[in-house]
Amino acid sequence: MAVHRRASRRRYVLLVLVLSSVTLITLDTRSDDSGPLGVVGRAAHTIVSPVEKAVDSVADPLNNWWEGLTDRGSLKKENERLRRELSELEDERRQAQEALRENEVFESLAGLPIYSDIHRETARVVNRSTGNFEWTITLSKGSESGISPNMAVIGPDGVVGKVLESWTGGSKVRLLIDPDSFVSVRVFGSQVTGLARGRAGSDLLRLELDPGVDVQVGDDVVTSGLENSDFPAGLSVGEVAEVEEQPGIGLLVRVKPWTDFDGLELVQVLDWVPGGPPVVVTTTTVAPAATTTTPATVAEDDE
Amino acid sequence: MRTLRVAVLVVVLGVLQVAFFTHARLFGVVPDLGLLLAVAIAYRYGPEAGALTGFASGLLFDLFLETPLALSALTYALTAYAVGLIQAGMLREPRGITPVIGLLAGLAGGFVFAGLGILFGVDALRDTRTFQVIFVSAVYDALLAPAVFWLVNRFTLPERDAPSAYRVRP
Repeated sequence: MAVHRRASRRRYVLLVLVLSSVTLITLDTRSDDSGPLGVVGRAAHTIVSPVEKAVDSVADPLNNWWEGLTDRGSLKKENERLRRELSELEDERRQAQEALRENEVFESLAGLPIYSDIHRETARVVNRSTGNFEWTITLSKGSESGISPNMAVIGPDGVVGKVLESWTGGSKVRLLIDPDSFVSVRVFGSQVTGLARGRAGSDLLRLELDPGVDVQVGDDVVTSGLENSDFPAGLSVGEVAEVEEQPGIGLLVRVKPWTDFDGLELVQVLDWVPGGPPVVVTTTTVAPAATTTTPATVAEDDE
Repeated sequence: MRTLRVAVLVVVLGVLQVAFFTHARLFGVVPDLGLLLAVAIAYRYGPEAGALTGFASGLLFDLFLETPLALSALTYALTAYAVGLIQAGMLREPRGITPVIGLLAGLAGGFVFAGLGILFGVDALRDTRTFQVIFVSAVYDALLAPAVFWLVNRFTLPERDAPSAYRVRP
């Protein structure tokens, strides 16, 4: 009799746990991050953030030591510096060409978002994907630095991803290669635009285009900056790695991102509002409680 | 008192999982410390305790994941419950069984997570790489299982039941 009662209790406990789980899963999938579950999640992140930073500060020198031991450290750093410089020059060239092209087409319009006018917040990567089925990074800065969800994140080689959530002391970024990630892109030099999406189990982005479009392997792919895109126009995304014709459907283009997602150390979060007015920075004047809004050139906070 | 100690283990292993093991990956994959803890509790104290521990540790881990909240909690609770039931039917405890439990629980937990995840619309799980990740994660769990089982024995067993209590004292 006692054994039977214990078995019934066990089944009852399991049933309660299963029902609680299903309820929470349903609530979570139907609500956004501003709900009570999101608040609990951000609180947990805020508490664990200092531990993540501490572990990263220990793990980083250990990684560097190991790389130095195998004579790769200095070469890698030099290589990274040169790549960064080259990438910056390439970016500038693309920005200039992109601006010229846009100027020709939209000559009458003013206030297009220009990359150099965007306020940028530099942050260190302190952690990587917590689970095995997501492609994210955790940054050292969060809501206290003005970082908020959907902000674009770039690295030395190009677009990294989008801010997913932020809390005091950190933020989480969904990488471009995450299956839930997408970015509006343009194959550089042409007018062809489309949505490049991440794909589970692949380092390549998937881009579907109409049939008959002139796209070649090796073509550069940049952000299109179309309306509602979370990224300003002209940022490097990657290059066309494969072009496959799908009869009756169109072209399936695979894009190899420039960014080395495993080697990211520092990134920049862009304070750019999709489709909004030209980027402005709020500055406080000497007079108390008086605030003026002035156009910014380059406002950058270094780590 | 035991509940409090288990709660401390849930928090400590949870923090290790999200802060340390993301830097200590095996072929790019992280282990499931929460699952191992739940399984160890289920093996030692039965399916009910295992399921409750699994729910708590899974829920804590879920706060840091992008998959729906409570997906890991449900997975850990179900897996630990099953391990507790199987253990109850065992006549004796073979030596060196903990890595085997870790491996099998890791595989079972991985497939339950993937199955439930697909059911609840997690597209990232619809890929052949999922099998590879589950297998590597299960192997990692097998390697870490002896340490987690030792922790559970060390911190939750009453003094008289602890292995050291049977030592002959001079």
